[in-house]
Amino acid sequence: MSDAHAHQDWRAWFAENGARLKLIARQWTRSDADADDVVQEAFVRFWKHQRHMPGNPNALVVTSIRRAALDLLRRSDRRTAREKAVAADTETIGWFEPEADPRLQSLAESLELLPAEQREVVVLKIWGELTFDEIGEQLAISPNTAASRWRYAMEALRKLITARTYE
Amino acid sequence: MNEDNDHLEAALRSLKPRAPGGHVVAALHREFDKPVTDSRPWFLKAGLLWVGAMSVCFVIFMGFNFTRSGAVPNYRLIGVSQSEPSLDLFNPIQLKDGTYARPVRVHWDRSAQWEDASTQTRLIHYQPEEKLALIPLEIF
Repeated sequence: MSDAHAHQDWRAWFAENGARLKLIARQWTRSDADADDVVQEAFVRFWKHQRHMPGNPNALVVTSIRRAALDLLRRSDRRTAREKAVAADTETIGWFEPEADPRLQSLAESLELLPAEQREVVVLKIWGELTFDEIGEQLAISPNTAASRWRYAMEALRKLITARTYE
Repeated sequence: MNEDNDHLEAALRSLKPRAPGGHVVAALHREFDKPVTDSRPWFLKAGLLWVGAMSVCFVIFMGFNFTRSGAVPNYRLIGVSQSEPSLDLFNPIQLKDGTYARPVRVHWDRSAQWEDASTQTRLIHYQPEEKLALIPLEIF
């Protein structure tokens, strides 16, 4: 079996892409720590078993992240409701680095307020670098549905930013 | 509207997501530093191991004959071959942990030949092999 990425420096690749991978993981996890765990588990899984495969590794890594996140959600569903409530209450870490520009800061906060199904399409398109076809495959929806969720998300973001501007 | 969307998309792209924690990077670096395992298919590795083992047996056999009779049979290894593996794919099955996998059966055979030119005798060792494996399937 030939290694299609034999000369790839995976440390450099992760250093360049780790932040956006964590943001993707954050869409399907309940806390910042869970997102870290998912990224670690998913990337190790990809690196051990799939790094030899030809083509752009990005879509494979995103698939691995989604699978690891769903596995973690299934496992953590066994936790008690009380534990979940405590975990949710203690989560105060933002998804993005703080922005000096108040409009960008508002945009970052507004993104977190979008409905999950719109937010994951935005994150997969912008930071996952996936097409609507690829997003459809990831989320088991049609490309048209992915595209329409994107349009609703853009509309909702514009409304949220406008509302925050006049607050 | 499209122009608005382009501006909004550009602004989103300028946001900088938080990097994974230092412990994640450290754990990945430990993983990268582990010795890389041989990525050749297991049946090729098994074949090489078999050829090596047969060569050792042959040397021992020759040495034994030499010490016993004082004569050295002139057996020479003249060929080692391994057939192309043939694959049988079966329908996916569900495993105990809820994941799916596709059973695969691989057939191949190996042979090694030695010849003693002085007596025109030939020793052929033929070994058919069959292995079953499971290929994990990603289903969402």
